[in-house]
Amino acid sequence: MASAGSGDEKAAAAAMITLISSDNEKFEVTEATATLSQTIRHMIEDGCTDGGVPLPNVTSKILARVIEYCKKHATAAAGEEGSSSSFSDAAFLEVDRAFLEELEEFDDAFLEVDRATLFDLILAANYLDIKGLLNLTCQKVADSVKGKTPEQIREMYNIVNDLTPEEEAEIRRETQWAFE
Amino acid sequence: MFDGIRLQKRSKNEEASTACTGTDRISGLPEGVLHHVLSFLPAHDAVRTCVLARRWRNLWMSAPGIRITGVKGWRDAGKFVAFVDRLLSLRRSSCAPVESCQMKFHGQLIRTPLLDCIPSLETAIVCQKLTHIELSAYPDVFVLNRDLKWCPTFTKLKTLLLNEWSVAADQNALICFLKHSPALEKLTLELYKASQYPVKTDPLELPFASNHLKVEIKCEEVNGTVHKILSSLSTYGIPLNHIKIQQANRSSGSGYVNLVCTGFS
Repeated sequence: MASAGSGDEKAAAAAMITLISSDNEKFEVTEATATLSQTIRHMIEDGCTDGGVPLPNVTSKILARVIEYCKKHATAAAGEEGSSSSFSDAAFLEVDRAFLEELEEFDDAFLEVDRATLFDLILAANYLDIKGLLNLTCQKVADSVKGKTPEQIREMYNIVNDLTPEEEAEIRRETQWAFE
Repeated sequence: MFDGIRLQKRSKNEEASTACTGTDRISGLPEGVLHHVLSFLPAHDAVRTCVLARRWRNLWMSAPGIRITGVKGWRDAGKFVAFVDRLLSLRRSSCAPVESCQMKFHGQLIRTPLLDCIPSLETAIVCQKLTHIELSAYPDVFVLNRDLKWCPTFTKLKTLLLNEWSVAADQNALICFLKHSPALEKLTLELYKASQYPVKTDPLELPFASNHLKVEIKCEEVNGTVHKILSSLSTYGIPLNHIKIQQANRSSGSGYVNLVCTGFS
């Protein structure tokens, strides 16, 4: 398959990849969906996906969510690639707009998860190198921190302050310019 | 004294683990991921994470993105300007490359020449790695030609967002950025308040924009200023079918109308 790939684009588009979660569950996805992950894309390019791709860092629960995200966004990416290289098709722009709005709604709904799941998704997106998903999830964490005091952030995320009071006072003195 | 501190620390840790309200998942994230999170924060929020715990002390200094969101929330403009100065000078000393930079200078009393930040950007930030810049300000921000002379070449810059200030003064800033961004793929111009600007174009200008550059202009109405900008973009070598105009549609309350340029008169 790996050696035939370059010759036959149709076969490549329909190719399926099997992803195996840490708890040994198998997920069959299209290559277009799988290659949203740069990690998997490189494995496909190297021809080492026969027999499935083991993902020891990702549980089936999280992998199912990641695949859901990739499926939706792979369709979006396909639409973008299919468009002409210029902005000349006005009808396409309208479709494009409606689709982008739908995608945004999907992303919003996708992020309605508890904090533990959010961190698991971040780690999976980082490990699988899925840029869009990493941006989306990191943005969510950033939004939750925005405008909060250090004390509020520590409480929200159970961060143990391992600075001595003297050290903390010194850091605050040094960064007074950022606290005004 | 020393033992006292240690004891105190241990008991704090034990407290946290026995309290069992949850573990500190955020501090356990890989450094690259935390940098990514910090890149999404307004710069002042990012800097303030330095007091959270030891691990966070210098994290903000090497985040690949900087967002400076303006004077809002600062006691006065002077404090804000001092903040930007300190931020950029500390970034300079950290030597960590910045890939994305967003600066919004909206707010009263800010007359800091916007492009004063550019020389600092050049030295502070290894601008060779910058792939995304957003610079927006009130249209009356003062841009001097001498400031533009310091504009470095952004060899990797792919996306650029500018607003009204860039087309004031004969589009000097816009032209300057276009000339210094050979790899630019997407330029967005937000021109909601640009109606009053006299814009003249220099007919002697030779085309220099790369042919894969796409431009999106967002405005309230396609007026004389927009026409002149189209005309000059075309002079710089950007084909009209690479320019999309998104007009805010006021009559229907919300939404936009997308226009495609086919020609102009």
